[in-house]
Amino acid sequence: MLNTDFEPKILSFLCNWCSYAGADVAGISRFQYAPNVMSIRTMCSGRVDPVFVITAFLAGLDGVLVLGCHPGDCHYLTGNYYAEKKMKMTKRLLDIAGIHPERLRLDWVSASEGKRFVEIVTSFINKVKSIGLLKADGEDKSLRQRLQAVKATLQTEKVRWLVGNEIDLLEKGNVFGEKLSPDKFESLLNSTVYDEYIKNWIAILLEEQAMSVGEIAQATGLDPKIISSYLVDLEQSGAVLVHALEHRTPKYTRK
Amino acid sequence: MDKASLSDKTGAVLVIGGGIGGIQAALDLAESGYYVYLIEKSPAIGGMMAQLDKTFPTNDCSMCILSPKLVACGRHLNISIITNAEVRYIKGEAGNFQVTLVKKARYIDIDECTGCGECAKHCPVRAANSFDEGLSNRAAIYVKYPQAVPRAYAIDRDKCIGCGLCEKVCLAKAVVYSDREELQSINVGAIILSPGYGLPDAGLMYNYGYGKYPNVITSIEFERILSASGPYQGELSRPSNRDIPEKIAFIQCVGSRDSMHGKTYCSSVCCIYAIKEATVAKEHSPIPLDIAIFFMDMRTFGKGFEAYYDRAMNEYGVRFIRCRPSMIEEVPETKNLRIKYETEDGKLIKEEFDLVVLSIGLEPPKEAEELANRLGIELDKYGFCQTGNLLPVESSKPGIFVCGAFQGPKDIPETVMQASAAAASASASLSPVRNSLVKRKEYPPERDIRGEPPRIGVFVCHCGINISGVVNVPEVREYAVTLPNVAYAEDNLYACSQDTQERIKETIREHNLNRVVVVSCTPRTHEPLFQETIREAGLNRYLLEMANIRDQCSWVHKEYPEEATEKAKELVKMAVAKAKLIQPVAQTSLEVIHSGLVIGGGIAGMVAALNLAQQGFEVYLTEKREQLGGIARRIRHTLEGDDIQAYLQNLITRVSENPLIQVYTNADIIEASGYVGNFTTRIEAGANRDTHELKHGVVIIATGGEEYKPSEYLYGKDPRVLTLLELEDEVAKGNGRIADCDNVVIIQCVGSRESNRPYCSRVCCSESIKCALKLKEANAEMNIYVLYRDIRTYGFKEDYYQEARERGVLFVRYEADDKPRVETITEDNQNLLRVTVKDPILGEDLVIDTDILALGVATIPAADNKKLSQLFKVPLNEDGFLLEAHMKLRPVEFATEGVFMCGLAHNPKFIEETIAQAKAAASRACTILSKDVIEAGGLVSLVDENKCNGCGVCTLICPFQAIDIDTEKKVAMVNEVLCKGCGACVSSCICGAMNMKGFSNAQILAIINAS
Repeated sequence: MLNTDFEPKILSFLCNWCSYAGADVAGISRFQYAPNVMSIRTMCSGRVDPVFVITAFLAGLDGVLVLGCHPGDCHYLTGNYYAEKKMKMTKRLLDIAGIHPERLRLDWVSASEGKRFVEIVTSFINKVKSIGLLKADGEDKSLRQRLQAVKATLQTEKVRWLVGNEIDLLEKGNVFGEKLSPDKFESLLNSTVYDEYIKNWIAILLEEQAMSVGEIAQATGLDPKIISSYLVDLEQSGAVLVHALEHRTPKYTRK
Repeated sequence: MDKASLSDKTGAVLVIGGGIGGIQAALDLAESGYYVYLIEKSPAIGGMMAQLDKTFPTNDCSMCILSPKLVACGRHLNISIITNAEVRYIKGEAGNFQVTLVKKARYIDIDECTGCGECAKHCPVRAANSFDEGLSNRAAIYVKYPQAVPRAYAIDRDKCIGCGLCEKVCLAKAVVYSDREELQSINVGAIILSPGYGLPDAGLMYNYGYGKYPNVITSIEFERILSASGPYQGELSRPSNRDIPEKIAFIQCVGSRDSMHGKTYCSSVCCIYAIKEATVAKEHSPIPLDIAIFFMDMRTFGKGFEAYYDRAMNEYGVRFIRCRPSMIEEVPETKNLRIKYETEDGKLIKEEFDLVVLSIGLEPPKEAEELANRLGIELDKYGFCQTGNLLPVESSKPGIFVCGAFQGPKDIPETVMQASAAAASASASLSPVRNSLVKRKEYPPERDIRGEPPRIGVFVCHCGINISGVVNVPEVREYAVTLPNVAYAEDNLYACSQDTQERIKETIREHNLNRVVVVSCTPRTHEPLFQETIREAGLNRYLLEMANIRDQCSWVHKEYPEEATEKAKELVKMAVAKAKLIQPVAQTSLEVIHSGLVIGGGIAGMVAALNLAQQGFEVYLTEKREQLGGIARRIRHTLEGDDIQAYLQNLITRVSENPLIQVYTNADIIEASGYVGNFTTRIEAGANRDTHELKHGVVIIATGGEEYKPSEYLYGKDPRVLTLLELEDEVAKGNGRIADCDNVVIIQCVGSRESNRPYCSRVCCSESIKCALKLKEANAEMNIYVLYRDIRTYGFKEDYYQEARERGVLFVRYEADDKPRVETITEDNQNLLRVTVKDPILGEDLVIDTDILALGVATIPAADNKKLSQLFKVPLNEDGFLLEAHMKLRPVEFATEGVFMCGLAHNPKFIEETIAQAKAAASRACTILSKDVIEAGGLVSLVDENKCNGCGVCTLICPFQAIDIDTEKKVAMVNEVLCKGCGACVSSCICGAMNMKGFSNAQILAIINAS
């Protein structure tokens, strides 16, 4: 790698049929770009699980690029549309977790667009440079915890169910035959993602040590009242319990 | 057929021309049990389609959809691609031709050439690159285009000065200066012609300033300019100074509908490709771009074309100007072009443009005449291949079939359909010798590696100096040895060379390797080769992983050799991390039921059924009405004069008498289940509504279309108002009611091209002209008025339009927002049927009291389409027609495998087009029926039943209907036959039960963690 104090490490997921081919065409045409980008080939951009993205950040990568076929060009007809939904939601989560959402980019490169591939890679490297290095494999414990919370959120059933059903709910209709409005769906998804993230974050904090509401509030920067309400959820689902009382203040821990 | 004549036939087919038509025909035949010789005169297959940037009407990237077909052709065991080759002469007859081919010298051994390109980098010669239409340059040693198949170089002997440098730098020793022209003799049972088309000579375009002014270019040159891999890398700019144009004019009908140059036919594709180029240019341009298209009639008659035209006009703001410019001259200072034209109402306008694109027509291929002479086939008056109108893919010589633009100008889907149709016709004539010449490969038994710890062998390729010129290959090899589970590593000059393949096999045995990582170039081209190699060494073919350190490393990081070496090491580490976790993947075989169900007994269904039967398969043909024939029962003649009733009777007889076809009339489809190779369909048929349960391997839906019954123009209220089909019937009856008329008016686009039914019904213009000509035949004095929006007599039908005009039929154009008015009026005690239309040239109302008013009504989809789409889980488009898997390259298929379609159920079309499409559906169906088993499995999804909660999100996401929920176990089940392995279900699974072979979560996470 280039000097990693300055150069970001980028991971790209390339779909076999369009963007991986586009990257090959860049090679055939000898278009040059910086060497700090590694590629993983998947058959379809729809294969890229948001969990992969967060795993990459946790492994020390600074930016993740997901490239697929242009809309309408997907070799598997609709995979790129699902990739779009997934990455959009992942970016939203990154934002909630205080991680710059533009560390993740989804874009389209066709099998003949070698130049476009290089342009996207180059502009993405520059973008990540301007954001700065992430280095989640380094010293910053809070960053790692937040990323773990994002990862856990991405694995929750609710979030995956909503994202997987988005296209159907908006275009074909729900179980009552009604089409959901994009705004309504978006606000529901936003709040679900937020709730799940905060709960996961609290759970991860409590995994490390027992904490009071006040301490959690301090660690997360959130209002104690909000923490308290999420703790109710977590207690009810049996994820956390009161570990001990310190004076009259309960300390919670992971079950 | 007796034994002697049976043995006379040869189970191989020659396909001449390696464009998309030839490729499709070759793939169909090779997949149906025939050996195919695919010959191509240039050094690579791909044809015109490879030159295109995007394809209409979806703006799909042309190369993205073509390239998988190129690769499939290139590595098919039963397709022999012979490049730089032509036919010298043929002997013999249908069933057994002896063909002598001449192979021109290429001066490159394509088995040795690795396509690395080192030679071209050194070659001192600079020559015009014809692939870019001369807008860029290449060396004398060249590869036709980056994705070319075969990906091997060739020496252009006209340009090569013989300096000898390429041989010196070629480490693969592929340069052979002693190469000479060779003759090759082959035996085939049938021949398919797909030589494509030619482009007009520059001389024809000189009047438009082509060749005189640098900023007058052809549409194909513009296509290359738009292409991301073209001369300007997709940057829109004009040739004279590379400025971005602000104003572009397209001039239609250059070399088409042009009696001065003897090209009176319409080239069918130019209107729609001009719209495509205009919209793509608008998308590409960084600045606002003004585009004007000068046209005579806008012929957007294909599926989805009218909506595309509408979008170009209303969303993209492309200007459409109805006129043929009278003059183009250059403004010398700016090199702009000044176009003089006259608007419809007679105003003279001069307008300046930065760039003029000539929408050039399609001509017969340059070699057409010579080819025709050598093969003994006839050409039509324009030099295209002569075929019968109702035998659209049969040349004048038995056993020789034709497809694509050589048969007449046409677009890609029509070409692909004809290609499959030609394959079906060839296959029907050779079915007794199916599978007699195909090759099958024998492999050693697979070694059972269960329980063995991973022993990975790493092979690092120098690719001559393509990799090792930048990346330190020995260092990468040494690094590989240090990685966990790597038992052995070596480096090779060329990993893909024949001797290295042998070495890899030996090494696998010698070191008892059970995984192989090849560190070289792109898996997109080379994975199948190395998979084959390790399979030959007794390993499961999926125990291979590749690291691409050439295309995505050494070639793109030339300035950073150290970093590139580090990156290469990391890529090896990632590949090894995955390799450690890869497992053998089993393939299973499922038996195919060798019969087909054809739904719909019109021409489409009957032609499809008959072809399947001729190919030797049992067919169930269902028709919902009492009689076979469909809507064709109401058609007397074609525009070209074919007697449809005679054709239909003959077809019905052949279908009814064919012992392999079981016809069910009064039949309804009740229930359908199963999947490709193994469907079960329950029908109720006959007067007694008997239930039949049919087992079949494929389904062809051919439910036809219907005539729109109009509410417009007093239809149904005044007996003088008829539809065109009704008029045709009246004319055919020969009664005085029609022949004695003084005035007949025909109104076009009734119920088509309207906001509620936006598509063009394609056939009505020609049908009106057919009726008009018949009326003139009956009574030359009759006044016939055709009120139209655009006359869409594409292809050779244009000649009949001209004939109608010459015979005095009056064509009056009307605007969509100012339609003709029809009323009944009583004057002098006479009840008059009065049509009033605004004449756009005179700007005045034209009033006609007509005896008969005929309406060119829309063709609408059959009501059954909806039900069938639900039963067989296939989609409809917004107009209610069946929606194919891909508009360009899969025009008769669905994403759901084993289900096909043809005829009016797909879109309005002419009978000859229906016949071609029906045969195409049969051809595609036979690629399944001709196999005893279908291979299933490979890299597909799998379910962990213990984890699955049966939520069904995977079933929603899968576009191939490959996943069902088991109603008893409440878990998802993947049908391995239908799964295409995209993996979208895995990344959407809510409980982690879904996974994918070859790209499992654990494997991808291991790669990420190693990166």
